[in-house]
Amino acid sequence: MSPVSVEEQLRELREQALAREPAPDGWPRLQRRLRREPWRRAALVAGLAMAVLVAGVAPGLLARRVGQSPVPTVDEPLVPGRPVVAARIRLDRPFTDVDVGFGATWVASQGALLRIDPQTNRVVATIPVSVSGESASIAFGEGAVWVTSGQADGVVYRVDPAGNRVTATIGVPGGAFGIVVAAGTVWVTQYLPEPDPGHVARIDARTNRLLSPIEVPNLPGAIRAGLDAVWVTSRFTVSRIDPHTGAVTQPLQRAGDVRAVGAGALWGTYANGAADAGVQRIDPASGQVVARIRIPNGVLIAFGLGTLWVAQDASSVTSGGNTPDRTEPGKLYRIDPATDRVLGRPVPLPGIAPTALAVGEGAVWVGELDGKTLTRFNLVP
Amino acid sequence: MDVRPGRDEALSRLFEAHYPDTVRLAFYLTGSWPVAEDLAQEAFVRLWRRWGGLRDHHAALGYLRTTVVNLSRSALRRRLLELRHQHTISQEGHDPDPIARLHIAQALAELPAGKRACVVLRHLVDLSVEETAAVLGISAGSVKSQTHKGLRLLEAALSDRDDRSRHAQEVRER
Repeated sequence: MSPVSVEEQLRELREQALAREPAPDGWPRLQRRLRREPWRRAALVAGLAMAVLVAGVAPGLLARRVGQSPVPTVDEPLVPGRPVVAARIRLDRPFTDVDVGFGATWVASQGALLRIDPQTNRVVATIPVSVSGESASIAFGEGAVWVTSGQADGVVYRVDPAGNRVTATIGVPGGAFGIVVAAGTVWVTQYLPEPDPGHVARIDARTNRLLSPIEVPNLPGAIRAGLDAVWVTSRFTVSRIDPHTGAVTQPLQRAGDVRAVGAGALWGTYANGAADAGVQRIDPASGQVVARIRIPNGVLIAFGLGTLWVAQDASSVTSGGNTPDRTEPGKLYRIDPATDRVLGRPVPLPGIAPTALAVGEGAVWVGELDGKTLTRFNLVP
Repeated sequence: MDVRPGRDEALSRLFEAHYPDTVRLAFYLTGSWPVAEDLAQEAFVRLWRRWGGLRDHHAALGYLRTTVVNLSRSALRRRLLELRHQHTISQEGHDPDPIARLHIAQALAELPAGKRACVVLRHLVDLSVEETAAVLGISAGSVKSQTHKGLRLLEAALSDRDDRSRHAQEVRER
């Protein structure tokens, strides 16, 4: 067969494809997808709270060098210095979640869990796990690193941080997305399309076996652990799960979500409009919102080094037309939990939008839109 | 997620103008029309998510194409598995879609991903060498050599299919 005939057949293929139109419901279908986006985002950032927990219980965790005196933990409020970019770590694959534990920074990336040595900012271990590059999450607890597959055919991997190897692969039918560890149990959100109820899968960390799931209101997304509870954000509700009994309650008033736990408070987001949006502080005892800090486009929240950190998404600026004239880069904000105010001037984020945020090893770690670059901010003493 | 001013309307216009072509590009890369529609949808969702972060919004079409090419790699692997599964069940292995049954579509699906993308973008989407290089993030020289090798592989695959068809016909006639 001559090359000409290959090209003729390619032409025939193109003509047949050009004669065919996509299904007419393409636009409504896309709109339905876009309406679900906020909940996808919630699932995407699940798992960050464990950094808070680890930073709170590991003395000296914040000391970056041997011999350096330990800095206060999250329970000891401190006003850190201004964050400055200390390293831009380019990875060889897209990643979603970043978390800090066992003296290392861990990155859930497509097809592997990466371990970064914070002393050198280099990847020192690549642990093959079948996780997606978009919705996988990391948590620490019971002497292990836990990673979800971030896929509907859910798997949770248990990784031994001493040997950098997978020691258990636990199937979680129904999906495995956000993850935390509390009271000897691993808690995993299952982001199912079915409306009600939603499920939080449980794994016994001693036996690596699935326990009966906990039912919560539909579409559980963000999951956080802290204040002796597991907090699960569903579509319209935040549930508090007692990690010892599995009892579920909804004690929070007018709280759309819980994205971080720290300084004895819960932290979530609010949005009354594109400009009137930001972070809110919720009193876990009363369930009431006690403070609001306006940060439009603040999309990622983590608690550590005594402050709340908010990574802001980039925003478009228009002069009246439909097409944005320019894009404003996002910024990294610090909020002092003693005053509920923004500390200092927010720092511009490199790259074009943040996709992951974690605090630990004396630094703030931000993933960015290209999905492959991790930026490390150190704090000016 | 915040809705950025202008994003939804701009996306709507982009969808109207380029959705069919995006589906066709995905179809050329995966050999399945339903999968292609799914990929095109996903590409638009990703574009929407990242709209505010695009350095140049005029580059949205390029972003769409790149996303479709990247998504098609894993989608095609799944599709080949499905076809193998169908083959096991039906012993026919034929896609019910008449366009997908074209030998050229099947041969394209069997090309290595890089060569397939070059052939599709150059010969089916009619992009220039430079445009193809920009979509794939490779050099113009690589585009030329990958396209050339892809066409040669297609030629060999189609020739092989013809031989097998002739042989099957001869067996049936005996």
